[in-house]
Amino acid sequence: MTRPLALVLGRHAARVLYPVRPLQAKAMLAELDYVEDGDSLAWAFGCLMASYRQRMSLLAVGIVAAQLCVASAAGVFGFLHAYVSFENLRAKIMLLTGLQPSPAPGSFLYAIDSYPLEHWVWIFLVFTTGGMLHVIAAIMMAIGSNRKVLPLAIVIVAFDLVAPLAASPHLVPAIFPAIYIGLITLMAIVAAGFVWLWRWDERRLAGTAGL
Amino acid sequence: MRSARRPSPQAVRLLTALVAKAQAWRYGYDLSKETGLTPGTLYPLLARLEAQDLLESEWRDPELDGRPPRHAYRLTRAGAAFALKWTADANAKLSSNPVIRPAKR
Repeated sequence: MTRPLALVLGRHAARVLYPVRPLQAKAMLAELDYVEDGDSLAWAFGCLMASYRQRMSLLAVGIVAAQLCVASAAGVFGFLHAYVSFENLRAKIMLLTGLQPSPAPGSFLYAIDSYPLEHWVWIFLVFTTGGMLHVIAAIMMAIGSNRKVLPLAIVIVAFDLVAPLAASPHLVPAIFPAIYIGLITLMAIVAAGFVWLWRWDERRLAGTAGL
Repeated sequence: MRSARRPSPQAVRLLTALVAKAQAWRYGYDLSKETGLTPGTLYPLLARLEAQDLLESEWRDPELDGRPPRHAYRLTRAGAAFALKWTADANAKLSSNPVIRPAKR
């Protein structure tokens, strides 16, 4: 039981340290194979500490913190779009079935009632799809898979361009895609910046970064 | 570039273990068991000593098939002299001051 966990930790430690100290990373991981089962978990934790201690830098901590902030903002943004569009659709269905969505201001009910059901269904599908794509991009950034943010951004941009073409006539075509395209492009640029900075920090710690 | 500073107590423990069998190639796990140093302390120390040309290292083929090669370490000539100097100093300090307790293993 401890050996498989030790292997997982050992491999993670080697992956963290490899860009900075490749020889040491390989040596620690190879040595794990010779460590007795009872000592393997302690050894693996020790390797993890060695890796993080040598990989840690102020810049790395800053990058991770900034990544989590941007990812949180994008995640909340995406989730809110899905949630709000769902609530609007739910309110419309309730109004059509004679129920009163509560509590709800009069202006909100008027706006919901002013558009047909198909409009709110369409809004729900478009905003939930777009919102979930943003949430996925946020998760990729939060776990450090910044390189996957760019392909996702391209998908979101393509979606934002195509969706309004098939939209209900009540959907505003010009502003919405521009805002979302702008935001996801900014996120992709920031993610690419994080990747570049992270690699630069690795090279700096390995003693190979140029100024 | 070799450091002129006194090595840390952990480094002295490592140097003591290495100089005891100066000609032999030693492995990380064996050194860890002998010195009581965890990999978190041991490997950075080994890397530092190697950067100061006090240690040499090489990959050694496994004795049994199916196992990966192991990275082994050995003191260089300069490293042996350095180790003898600082471990002798540490032993002299220990024997002259009975209050100082030897490091736990």
